[in-house]
Amino acid sequence: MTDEPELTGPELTGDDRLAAELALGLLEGEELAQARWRQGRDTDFDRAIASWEERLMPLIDGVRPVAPDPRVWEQIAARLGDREEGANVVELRRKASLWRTYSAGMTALAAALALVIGLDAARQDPVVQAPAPQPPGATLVAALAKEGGPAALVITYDPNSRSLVATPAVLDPAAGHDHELWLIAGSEPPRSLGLVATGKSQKITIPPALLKSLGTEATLAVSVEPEGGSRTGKPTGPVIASGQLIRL
Amino acid sequence: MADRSRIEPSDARSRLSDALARAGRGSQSALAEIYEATSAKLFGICLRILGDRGEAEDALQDIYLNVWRRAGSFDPERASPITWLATLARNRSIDRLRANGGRRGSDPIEAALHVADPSPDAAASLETAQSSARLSGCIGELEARKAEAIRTSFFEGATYAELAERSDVPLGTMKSWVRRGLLQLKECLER
Repeated sequence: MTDEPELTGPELTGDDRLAAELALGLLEGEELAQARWRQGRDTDFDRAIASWEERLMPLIDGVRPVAPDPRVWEQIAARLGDREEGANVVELRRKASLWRTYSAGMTALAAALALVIGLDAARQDPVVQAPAPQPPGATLVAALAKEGGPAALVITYDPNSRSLVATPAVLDPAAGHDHELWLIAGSEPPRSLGLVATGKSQKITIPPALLKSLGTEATLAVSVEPEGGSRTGKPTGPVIASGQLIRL
Repeated sequence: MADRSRIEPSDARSRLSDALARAGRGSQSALAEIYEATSAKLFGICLRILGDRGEAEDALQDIYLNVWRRAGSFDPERASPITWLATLARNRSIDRLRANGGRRGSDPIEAALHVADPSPDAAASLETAQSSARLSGCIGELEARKAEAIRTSFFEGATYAELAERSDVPLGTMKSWVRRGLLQLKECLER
């Protein structure tokens, strides 16, 4: 025992500490980005977060319920009409899961397809490109989602134009925020591919230096960033969707 | 909207889980049920955090549209439905607060929000009164500064840096307070 027993003593540590800090909203910057990154990927960590949410949520019991204006429900109900959005998401998920199934057993076919696409590309584009870096020759696709959630964004790599096409499904950044797309190749740090537009398909040109990193080992992720994108060159906000590139 | 008599917690919980599952499959009437049972509670949370009625109404809209999109991912094995919903409401409100530069509104209604409602709606009765009383008891055992830091973070999403600035203590000190507080809290709740 010391003079101030309340202000000394053991602290919460490890993943349990990180989970509590994430649940409370204490983290920011790099630590927040990393914790968010693990969310939805690490089951034990997710369970620890859920436990802290359960522990702390009774604080809410002290909050007095207040009936909202009936017009709020009317506005919500009116927007439920956007059910195509939901249907699209289901369709995208179905496709993504089909792609995954195909890609598992059809490597040979994919290789053949890549060859065909490669030849096709060569025919259409007789201009000889610089030999290096070597971009992938196949069409690649990634369905970006928060684990267990609907696909938020589908990204297709077009080997002909050497660019990505991003098709957002459900992405709406809060006011004052933007969504930024990141490429993570193996253990390399995330590299920005720019901001993701909302509500419409968008072509993203890939910096030549990053072309060789694009492949089935690569993960694409979307993080929430201040308006205009991360100022540090690294993801600073929560990762809201991620997915691995697979060969189509 | 039908008059609702007080529901047993486990009954309300399974009803809400069931409605979430149906909403996840696209049932608008299931979402309406969820809204009816929980909107007053969630609106209370939005108001408590945002302190501005207009902001809270906008947040509430976002929250139920989010529920609509994400209901399919709710897993009753992993979380209670009201915790899941309240977490969505809290996180969304805090995001909104931060997007506004962390400035809370100051609606007079806020003064009354700490007071527990003597006649809770269906959602409020979902969580047993005991868990609330236990948490209050355990927070009450904490040293005041630690308790205040945890509360402020919970209701305002205040980060360590913000808490340290407000209390005018070094960042490391604040981290220690909170981390000790969290461990004490966990141990107390497990007793």
